[in-house]
Amino acid sequence: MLGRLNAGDPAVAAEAQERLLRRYWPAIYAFIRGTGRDVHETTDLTQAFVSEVILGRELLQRADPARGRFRQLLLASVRNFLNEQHRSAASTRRRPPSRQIISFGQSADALPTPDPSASPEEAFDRAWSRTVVHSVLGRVREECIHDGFEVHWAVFEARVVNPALHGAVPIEYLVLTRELDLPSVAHAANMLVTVKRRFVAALRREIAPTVDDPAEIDHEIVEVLRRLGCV
Amino acid sequence: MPRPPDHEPPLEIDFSDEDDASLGSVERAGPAAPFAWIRPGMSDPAVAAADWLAEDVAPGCGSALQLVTSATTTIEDLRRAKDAFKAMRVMGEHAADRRLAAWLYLGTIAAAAVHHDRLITSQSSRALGKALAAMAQEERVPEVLRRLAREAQERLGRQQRAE
Repeated sequence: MLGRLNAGDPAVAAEAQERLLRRYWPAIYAFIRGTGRDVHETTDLTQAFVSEVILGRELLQRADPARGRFRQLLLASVRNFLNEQHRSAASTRRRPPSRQIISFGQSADALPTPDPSASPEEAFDRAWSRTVVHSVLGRVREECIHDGFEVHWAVFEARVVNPALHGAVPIEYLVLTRELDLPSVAHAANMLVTVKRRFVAALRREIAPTVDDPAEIDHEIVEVLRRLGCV
Repeated sequence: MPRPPDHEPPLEIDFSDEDDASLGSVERAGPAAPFAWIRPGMSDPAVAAADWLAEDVAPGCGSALQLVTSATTTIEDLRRAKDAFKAMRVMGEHAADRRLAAWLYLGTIAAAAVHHDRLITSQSSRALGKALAAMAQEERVPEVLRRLAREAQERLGRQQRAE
């Protein structure tokens, strides 16, 4: 996606920029919140970082995919930004003159909840992981609906999504078989397998651009899920 | 496990044997971590699918191949696995899934015969013997499954001669 920022087509670049910002906004917020700042200051600083550093200094455009993970660059940039803020408490957070601050529609209850035991870096990684998983789940759900696999998705939701996102107890196959009018438990188990496979494939596609070596994809997938306490 | 090619014709196995109604559930375990089924090295989608089913049948079994071929797998788990792979044989998205499911399905029947001296299929001895012989000769089938098929074939042969 970083490559598309410099593709030359302003519309493509703008869309890629917005997608990147949407993906990383919660992680930036979580990092700043993890430093002990309250919700209001964190929101202000997150917005300021986006406008001054990401947009104002064109961080995304300057990022070189060949030079390591973008997440590490972003993390270092947020850290430096907070240090700058600390050194110059009177510094004002200005919007770049010709730009608009993008609204990401983050409602207060959608913001990452700080974990007092986590370092800001851990909070950043966890928020990024959460965004990735949510994004992939949304995409797989759309794919399933598009392909007429609504019931497959319902099984996956009951067995995997709700336990992962809401701490729900997975609904037993026997119950699902009755509720969804499926011919057998083995049938339900195979429907689940179909969506599991789509989820893994989508997760691989999502993770692939964020690692330096394709051999790291599997490891990174497990790390993403481990950060969320899901493996 | 080598990935079965998509273009190969399926093994001639009769899947019409009736399921045991008392074995309606392939599920035995309580809830695990929601994404515990995601592991490194899931490069072969067909094998991953079979392994996920196997894990539903017998949590901690390691893999579908281990579940089917281990002498310690219970007859109940073999029956559940048979149902699961039978459904995968029909529902698998790709030919490779369906072919692998066919091997594993037949493997559960062979394992029940070899390790428990039980016949868990209503297929005729002749049809079963033919399917086992085909699987034993199929080079793409993992050797451990082929060996199981040969043993089951021999055992069935001895029983038929004794009768």
